[in-house]
Amino acid sequence: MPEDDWQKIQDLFLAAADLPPDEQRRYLDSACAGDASLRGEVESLLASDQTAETGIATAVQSAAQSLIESDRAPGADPLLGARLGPWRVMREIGRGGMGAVYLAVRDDEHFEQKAAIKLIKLGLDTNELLARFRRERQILATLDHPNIARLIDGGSTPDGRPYLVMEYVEGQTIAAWRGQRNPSVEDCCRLFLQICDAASHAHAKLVVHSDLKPANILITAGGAPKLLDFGVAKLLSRDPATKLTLTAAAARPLTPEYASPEQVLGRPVTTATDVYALGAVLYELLTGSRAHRIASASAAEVERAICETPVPRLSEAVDPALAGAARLRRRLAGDLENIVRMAMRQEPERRYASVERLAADVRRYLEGRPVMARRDSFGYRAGKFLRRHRWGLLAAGLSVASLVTGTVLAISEARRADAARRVAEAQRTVAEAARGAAEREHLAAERERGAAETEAHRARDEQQRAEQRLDELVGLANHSLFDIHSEIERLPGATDARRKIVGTTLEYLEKLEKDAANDERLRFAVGAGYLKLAQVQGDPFGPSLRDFPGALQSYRKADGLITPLYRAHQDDPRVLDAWIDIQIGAGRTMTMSGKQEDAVRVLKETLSATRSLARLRPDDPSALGREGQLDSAMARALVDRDAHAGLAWARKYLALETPLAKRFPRNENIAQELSDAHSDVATYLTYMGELKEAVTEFELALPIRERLAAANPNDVNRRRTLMLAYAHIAGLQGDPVRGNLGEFEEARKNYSRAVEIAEQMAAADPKNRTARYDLAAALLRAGAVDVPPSGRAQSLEQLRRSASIAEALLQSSPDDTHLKRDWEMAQEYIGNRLRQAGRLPEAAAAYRRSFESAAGAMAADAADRIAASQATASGCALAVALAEMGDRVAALAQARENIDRARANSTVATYRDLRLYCLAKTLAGLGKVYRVLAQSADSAAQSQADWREALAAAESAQAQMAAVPGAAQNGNYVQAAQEIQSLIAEARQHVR
Amino acid sequence: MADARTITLLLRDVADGDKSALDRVMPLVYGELRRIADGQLRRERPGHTLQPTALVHEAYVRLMHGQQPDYNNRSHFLAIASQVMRKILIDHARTRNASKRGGGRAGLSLDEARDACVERPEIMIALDDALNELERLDPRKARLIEMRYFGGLTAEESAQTLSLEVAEVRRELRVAQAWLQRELDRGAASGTER
Repeated sequence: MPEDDWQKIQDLFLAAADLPPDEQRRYLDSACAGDASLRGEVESLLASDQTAETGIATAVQSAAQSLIESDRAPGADPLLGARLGPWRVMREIGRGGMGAVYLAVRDDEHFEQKAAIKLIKLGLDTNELLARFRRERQILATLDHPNIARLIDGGSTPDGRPYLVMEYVEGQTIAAWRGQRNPSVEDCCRLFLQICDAASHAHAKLVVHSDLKPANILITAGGAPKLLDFGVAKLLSRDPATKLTLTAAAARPLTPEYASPEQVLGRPVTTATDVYALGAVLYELLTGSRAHRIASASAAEVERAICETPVPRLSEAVDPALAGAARLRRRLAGDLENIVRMAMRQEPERRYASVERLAADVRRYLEGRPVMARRDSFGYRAGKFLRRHRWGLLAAGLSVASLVTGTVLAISEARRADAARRVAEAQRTVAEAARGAAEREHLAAERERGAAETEAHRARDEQQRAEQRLDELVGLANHSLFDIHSEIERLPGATDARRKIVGTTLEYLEKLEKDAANDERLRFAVGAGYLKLAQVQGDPFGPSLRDFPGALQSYRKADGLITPLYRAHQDDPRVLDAWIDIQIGAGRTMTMSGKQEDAVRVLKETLSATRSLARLRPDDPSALGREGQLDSAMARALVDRDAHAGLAWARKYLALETPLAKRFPRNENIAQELSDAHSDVATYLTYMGELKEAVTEFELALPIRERLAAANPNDVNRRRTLMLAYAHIAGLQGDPVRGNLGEFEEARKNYSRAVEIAEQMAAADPKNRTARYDLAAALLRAGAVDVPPSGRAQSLEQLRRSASIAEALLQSSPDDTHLKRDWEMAQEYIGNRLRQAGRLPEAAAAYRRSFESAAGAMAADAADRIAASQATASGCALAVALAEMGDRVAALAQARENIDRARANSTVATYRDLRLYCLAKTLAGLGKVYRVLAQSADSAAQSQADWREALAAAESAQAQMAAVPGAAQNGNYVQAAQEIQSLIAEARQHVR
Repeated sequence: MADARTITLLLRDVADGDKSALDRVMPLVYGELRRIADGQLRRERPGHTLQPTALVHEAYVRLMHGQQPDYNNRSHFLAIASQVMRKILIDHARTRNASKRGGGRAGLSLDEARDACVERPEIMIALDDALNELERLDPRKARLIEMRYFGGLTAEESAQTLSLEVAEVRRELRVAQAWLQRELDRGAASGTER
């Protein structure tokens, strides 16, 4: 309302308010002058004027009355009004199986903050409740999701009762929301998806709610659902203190209508329990009525209703009195009905495998795509009937129950169920033989069948439960290992945590291993666990801890478990595949550990298995690709000792992938393998000095990788391999620290493309350290390529950016030696560019930064060959720059220090050729310093003396160079030897 | 518990427009009001009528520990307390209302069964909604309603805190009351079945 109007209304109202009715009318007639809406406003205010005072006072009074009435509980709760930590308890807002929930406000500066305090009521604080409560506190602290009521705080009351302070949620129940909003089917589905999102967040944190129900979901004014009350949430593990146990929480308080069959029957609670409950929530969201209606709370009635009564069809639950009931019924029948039914299946393993799957199906429904949920198939129902029938016959002759229970008591749960199954199978044989007898006893059988079915059901459930437990155990291992590992692998400083995860998993697998002796299924699962563990420990290509000895040990364990299975079931592709995976992984790891001969042996023995697998699964691209992976591993194992053999295997790998890629043109994994094969061949060609061919081969990988990266714009790894391909090509063309083709122009172009991709990756995810790492490396290589004078400024800029990115990264991981060496190299080349521009003091400063860092690293770890080589390069450059600046004393001191350091390092056993080469370089460096000094000497005598020194140093460098093993084959060494040779020649000309 | 002097100083700062002083004094008032309300329910017999305004006044006396009342201070205190009181009542009404709706066999506690016959939280909620509406239209009027009905301030005291003429306060209040009542009547007429 415009302010003027409001003012006018008020004025008229006040002027008219105390007039007698007649006068009032006359006054308004003239004052409003035909403005009907103004008059209406004023008159409506006048009409309320008389009752206003008492009306408002009554409303306030009634609210105040309610406040004290509601609080007047018999034997008033002493907690009301009390302070718990910074919280003041205001009033009780609810009561659950666990205890009372109170509204609390912060009793300090943060006046506005409200919270729900949940604590155990007096008289209920048994130890079990307390323990469970403490557990809940830990669980909730790990959950952080906008649709889950947050845990704020926890503590215990002065009399020792623990309490939780949780986010106070102001919102409506689902029923109220439905009543008020009259939501469409789509609205309900969308709300439901948010609920699923919260539940699956909890599942990812290994937390099962296990008491999901509409009463535990509130919808805020903004329309967002909030999941409350993780009251019986059960920690699947994560916490070492719980020792990975998966027992059913005993005596759980739960709401019968929303309980899953496994809960009613006291069986283990899993994520499938929440899937069931979510199905019930969806049912209620869509129809407004409960999926199960329970007449009485007796245990038998609850069990009957939950476990035996099928969930009524969604469409049948629609209130026929509702407007549009027929239309709604049609919408609910079909897909949504199938989704709810699939979520609420009796058997946990036949429900959606996860909340995500359930959510995905609802999403498919919303998008009008076909859903995965289907009605029970005829085959399934028939199978179920036959199974029942068979057990009925069996029961006629024998008492299964006593046999089963008698046999199984002493053995572990997984094996127990298996034993139960085997006993049952044995009994079945007997029973079928005794069928004739059984049929004669048909009537007795009929009588006993009821009881027998229950027993049979129980035995089968035992089996299912054990299998599920096994799946969970294995799933947990995989989850804790791989999800958590991949979450943290790129975080700086996460190595300790990663090691801890590996340690925990190892411990856990060792425990399971003891049980695995007699159970093939468990054996396979544990073996697969070791395989994955080994990959995390030492996959040389993926992100791993690079703990090769640890990985080898795990591969051995996996091998020990799976090989007997492989021998017994050579025709089982799953076993075969796992066995091959182990062998290839072990072979690769052996290569990385310097045990190439072992690797070659293991890999050779695997070749026939890869071919069997290909025969067993002639249409499975992944099975067909195994041999290629083996070839690739073989190439790597051989290449260091026999480059030709390595190259031959790489070519075989390529020859295998090429037709596969043609046959499965849309299979991206195969395309990736094909590009890797090209890249492998190129790499080995590089080793053999065939740089030109190597570039050609790398260039064949490029379009494949371009295509893969374009098809998967969000897949960082695909972009990264593309970037690496460009960088490899550029390196061959003009990497200054390696032998190269001298195609600097091309090199700069390809490095620029690599930089461009790295820039995109770093911009897309500023938190991705690898991307920034790559960008720093790409900028460094691009900037280090030889440039004509016109390109120096750009090159300097690239180098400086590289250095500053590296510095920022080093802040959080100061021990990253690779990064440090890159930074040192950037400083060295910054020095080179500055020196080329005649800025000697700045150049010297950059060389010094590089030298001091590298020399420090050498002092800390003499074996660090890159540091040694960097210290040599920077130290020599620094000495020459000092000489050029005319600082004779400092230059000579630096050059001698370089020699001493290199000499000391030359005794280190590893990479001797490089270390001897470094010594030769430092001797040559002294010669170069003397050359500069001789050229700028004040007197002819001094110059003469300096040339003599230069010659002597160069000659000893030459002698040293001759002692470097394999110097003739290495481009770098050859180049250095030539430089020394020309220095000698130059000095000889001057020396008289 | 904060001493009377602290509160006096805080109230002065509030009068000078210091928002942080308000933030500090509010919880003190809240705590005191709650303590008195809780004390009431232990002390009094059933059927006792609680006057929120009386509660606010008692809070003032207690917080000041019987010190010489400063007229200025007292008005400011009551003005603040009226806001707090409204908050207490509306929070209560909203949660009561929510739990009433939550319904169903499993959720219905003894408390709710008993409360269902005595309380009508929807009235307070409607009032609060209307007050929020009024606040948007004319914030000063909303403040005056709070002072009058939740804090029991006289027209003189309200005039004091808002630096208005007493007659002006009366006129404002009269319009505000009529407007609010009309909104409440309209709400009831449109049949919002809460």
